[in-house]
Amino acid sequence: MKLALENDAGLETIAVKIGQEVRGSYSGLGGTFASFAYSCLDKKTIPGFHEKGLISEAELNEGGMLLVLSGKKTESELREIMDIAFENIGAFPGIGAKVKYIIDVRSKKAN
Amino acid sequence: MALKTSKEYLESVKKLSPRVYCGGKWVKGLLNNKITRSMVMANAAIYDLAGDPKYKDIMVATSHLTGEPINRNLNVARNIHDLDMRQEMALLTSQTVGTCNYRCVGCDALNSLASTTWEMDRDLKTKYNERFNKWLAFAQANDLAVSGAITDAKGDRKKRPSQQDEPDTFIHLVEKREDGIVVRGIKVSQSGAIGSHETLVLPGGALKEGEEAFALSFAVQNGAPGLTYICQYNAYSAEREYCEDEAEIGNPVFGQRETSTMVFDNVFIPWERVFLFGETKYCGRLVSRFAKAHRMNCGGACKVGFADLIIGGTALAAEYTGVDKVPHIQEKIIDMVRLSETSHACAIAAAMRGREEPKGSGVFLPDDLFGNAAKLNIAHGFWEIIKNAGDIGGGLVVTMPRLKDLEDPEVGPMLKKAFAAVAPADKRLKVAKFLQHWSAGLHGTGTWHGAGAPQTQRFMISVLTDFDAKKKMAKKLMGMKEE
Repeated sequence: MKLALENDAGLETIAVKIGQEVRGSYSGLGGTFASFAYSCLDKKTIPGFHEKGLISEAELNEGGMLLVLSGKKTESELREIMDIAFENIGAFPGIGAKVKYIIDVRSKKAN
Repeated sequence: MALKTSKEYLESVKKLSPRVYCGGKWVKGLLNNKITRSMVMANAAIYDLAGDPKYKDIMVATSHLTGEPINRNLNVARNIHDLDMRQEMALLTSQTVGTCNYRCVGCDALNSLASTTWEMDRDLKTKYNERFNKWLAFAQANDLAVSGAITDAKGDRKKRPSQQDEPDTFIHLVEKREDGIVVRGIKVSQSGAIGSHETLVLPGGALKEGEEAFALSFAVQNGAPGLTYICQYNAYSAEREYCEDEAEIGNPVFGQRETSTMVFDNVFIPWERVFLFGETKYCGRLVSRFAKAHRMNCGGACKVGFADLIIGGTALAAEYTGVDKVPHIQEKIIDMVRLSETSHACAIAAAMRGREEPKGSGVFLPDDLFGNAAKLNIAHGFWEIIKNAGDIGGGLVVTMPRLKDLEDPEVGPMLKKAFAAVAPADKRLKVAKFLQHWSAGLHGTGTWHGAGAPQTQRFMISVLTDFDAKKKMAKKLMGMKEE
């Protein structure tokens, strides 16, 4: 059996929207978004960040999730946090499959 | 990317932030802590081996899923040659790092899963094998370091998992959800899990009807929320942590074998990573197939690589003190080789007599009897080997001063005078330290228990040996009539 990785291999791509634009996407096995959502909603932590209090608000929506991080964070800080979060649950930047979920990441306090 | 370089692996580790506790502290960055770094550097060396053209046949295989070249640590053995190269990989990696190939348990676990999930799908019409193959193709494509977690904390050994006062002594189900499962429990003695991208979790042993909550197998990501790793800590950990210069340690870069206790505190596993869920009937097979592979590799090849290093160090110690031509010294070194090569011969035999299991699965597993013989033989032989290393290395192996003391302006000259023999003091002390690492370290007990304590091999040998056939042969030769 041969698996074509980007078609029937069960990958899942998640886009990260910061501000008005998509700033990056991550691909992992199916269930990556579910892992991320469980962490934020049930564990109240972002994968790879063990301390509580980083999440100010997390809520599932139709296309994915709204995630508001506490404090004042720049766009590059938000991107860095998402990079670390996805690496820690086995998803890697932009492999290019069709986006299944969008996570809208915001900083609690505007810059 | 089908084959990662060591540099790429190290870069990936820098991005991982598992919750790791080591020697009284939380570790911030696996490469920033001397103890956890030694484990990561050993894994990096394994990535390097796969990139070395000299070792391509041993370290690189072709994925049966994608046709791409992959690290053999992620290969499912599809024929006798694969089995033979797998055990040769165990030998080579041990010779190279003098500690675990931390991807070894994961490799044997994934071979057992390839076989058992295929069987479950055939018998139960489940989709576990398809799901497992997707996970495996992903792991292969990203050349992930995968460790394996088998041994539960186990609690009171007289009691079954469900009878334990503390249910967390075994990994078990907490919640079944639409998108996955939530698990909790404790796995112990997990080699290299901290620096792996993923860990394959298998049940610790056979389970019975009514124990479905414990019948779980899955892949968990290194940084999954709720997962904590508590590192082993011993005199060698303290030595590495507090020494001025790691060059004075017995195995300076790669260290002793680093394990951790993995605590699962309500960890979410999506269905895409679950490969067995409640099918108690298949747990015994899953574990015994893992053991079958691991006893060939761990017992008959990995520890043989260690023995090669110990024999080399012992021969140097003999040479440096001028006793290398003494007959009883030579005899003892030959005995070390005999013990070690007998185990390796068993591993080669286990590979050569391997077969497809189950028929039609395409997965090859080694011969069980030879694999168990390899492990049982080295479990006993290893003590004999390190005894001879201590014998020939002399009392200096445990009474030596600190290597750094040779540089001290006051005591250095005294020590150089005391310990110079055929070779200068620094060479003698360096070898003595190396032999101390092996003979007074963690590897004796580690070899005894790794891939299962010897009693499990004795049990398997008693089951696998046809004693009636042997009695019949003896009777025939004696001319004794069958009753």
